[in-house]
Amino acid sequence: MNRREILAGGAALALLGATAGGAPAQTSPSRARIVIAGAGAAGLSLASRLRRAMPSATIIVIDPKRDHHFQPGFVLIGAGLWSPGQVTDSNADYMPKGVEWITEAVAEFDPDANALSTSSGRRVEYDFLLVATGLMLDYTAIEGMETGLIGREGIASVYAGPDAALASAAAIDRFIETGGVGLFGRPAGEMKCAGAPLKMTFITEDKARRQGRRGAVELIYNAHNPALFAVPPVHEKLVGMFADRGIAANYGHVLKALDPGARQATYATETGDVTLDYDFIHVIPPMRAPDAVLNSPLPWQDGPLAPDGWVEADRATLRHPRYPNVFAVGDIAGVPRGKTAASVKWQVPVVVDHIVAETAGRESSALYNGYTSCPMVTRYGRAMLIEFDYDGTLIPSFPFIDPLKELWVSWLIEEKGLLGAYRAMLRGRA
Amino acid sequence: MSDFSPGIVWFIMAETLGIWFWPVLALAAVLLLLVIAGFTRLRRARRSAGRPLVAALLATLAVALVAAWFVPAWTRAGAGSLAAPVDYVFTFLVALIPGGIVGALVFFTAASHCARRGRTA
Repeated sequence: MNRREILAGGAALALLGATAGGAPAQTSPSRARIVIAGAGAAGLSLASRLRRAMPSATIIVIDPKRDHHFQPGFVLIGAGLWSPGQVTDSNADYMPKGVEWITEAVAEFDPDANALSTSSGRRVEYDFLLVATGLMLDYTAIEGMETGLIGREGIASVYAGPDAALASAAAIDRFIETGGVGLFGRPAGEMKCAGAPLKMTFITEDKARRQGRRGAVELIYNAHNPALFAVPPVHEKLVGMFADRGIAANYGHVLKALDPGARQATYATETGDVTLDYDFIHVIPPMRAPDAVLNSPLPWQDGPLAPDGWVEADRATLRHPRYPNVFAVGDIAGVPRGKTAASVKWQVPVVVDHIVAETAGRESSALYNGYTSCPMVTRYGRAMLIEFDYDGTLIPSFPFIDPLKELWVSWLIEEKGLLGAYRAMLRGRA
Repeated sequence: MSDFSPGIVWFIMAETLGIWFWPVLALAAVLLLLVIAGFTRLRRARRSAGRPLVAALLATLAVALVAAWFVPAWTRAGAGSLAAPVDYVFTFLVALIPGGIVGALVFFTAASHCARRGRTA
């Protein structure tokens, strides 16, 4: 190749590169002091976007966690496909330059004084507070249950972390080998990734079938209310799939106690407690706000989101109605739906736009529509890419993907596409 | 779909490929340069690009058809996982990546060969 050929190729590459930058976002010259409580998916994504949009602002992230977990991958670990290392990163790798990171927990929120205190007693004042603490998995709310049981006594739970997900995969394998009754279900309150309980049910069923052990296992899904899924067309689809695959469903069953020794699970139902024998159970704990949030003035004061301490927020702007300089983002936000990483992707730009606009003397029109996405794995190699809004309306991102059809292309997105998109989101680039 | 700008796709690819992003981009650049070099040589030799293009197209399709068999396994799925036309389309699109690499190499080789023959004719 000669010099002219190389230059011609270089020009073509330059054109390609020029299209990759994307449109510049709105910026603000404000020197505001912005505190982000939490360095999970929402916290890091907020920090990245705000750092670029408000170069003169002081941005402080507060979180003691060093590891960062790609939680949507826990199900794939539970399926025996991924390893814990594939979902574990370091928060430091995604912390934007120019952001102060206080590696302590928030001990107390004092929104009346525009301040909070950390676990060491340090007081941090702010002009804007972004609550992105995530939620707390309350395993102890189930009598007889504790995380140390995961992987033992026929108990699985992919939610507790990558190692627990790996132990759950082993528990599923043992269950399929020995046979018996497998129980699945979900808690009654708000939860993150509400599709995961169903995914684990389908994965176990498919794995048993592939190993020629389907006849040896009886699978029962205990729904917390009269539906398998909150979005009616998805519920109807799932009812048909359960029937086709021989999965039984109990409705209005909420797990309240476990007796691991006797392998019995007790469920609260409308007609009283019901105890079921099991050989395997996939436990999903009740979820609530962390103590620092729960004990603060930030949560809803009444209504269905109050008891578990979800932060009061306008469902469209995510702004706190009583403390207008406070926003709630991610799992902790007290809005219907929206407790998925995909929801964070749509929530963060809305909150950033409101802060940037306010500090620049403009008004933001950005609104969050409740976007929630659940790539529902239905068997090894297939998934349904279910996306919906506050109203439960299906809002597919890709016109060529039928959300109610089990497709390999949806699996492709789950298995190969989401991790990269998630990491780009952490850097505020997607 | 409205959110999928070229910039976002760029960053998602960068994060998906990790440390392999720049090597993959360099490979793509080399292949692009080879294709441009092939066309340049053909033009200088006043030869048609028809035959090299047909050879490249056939090579691309052949490799893609073979690679398509392995695409589901690459996603830890069996070939029986393909359920609808859109699955087959995307399987083939993914398989076009190795197909395109081979096609670009075949085009450059064929174009260089054609150009040499044109000069010596």
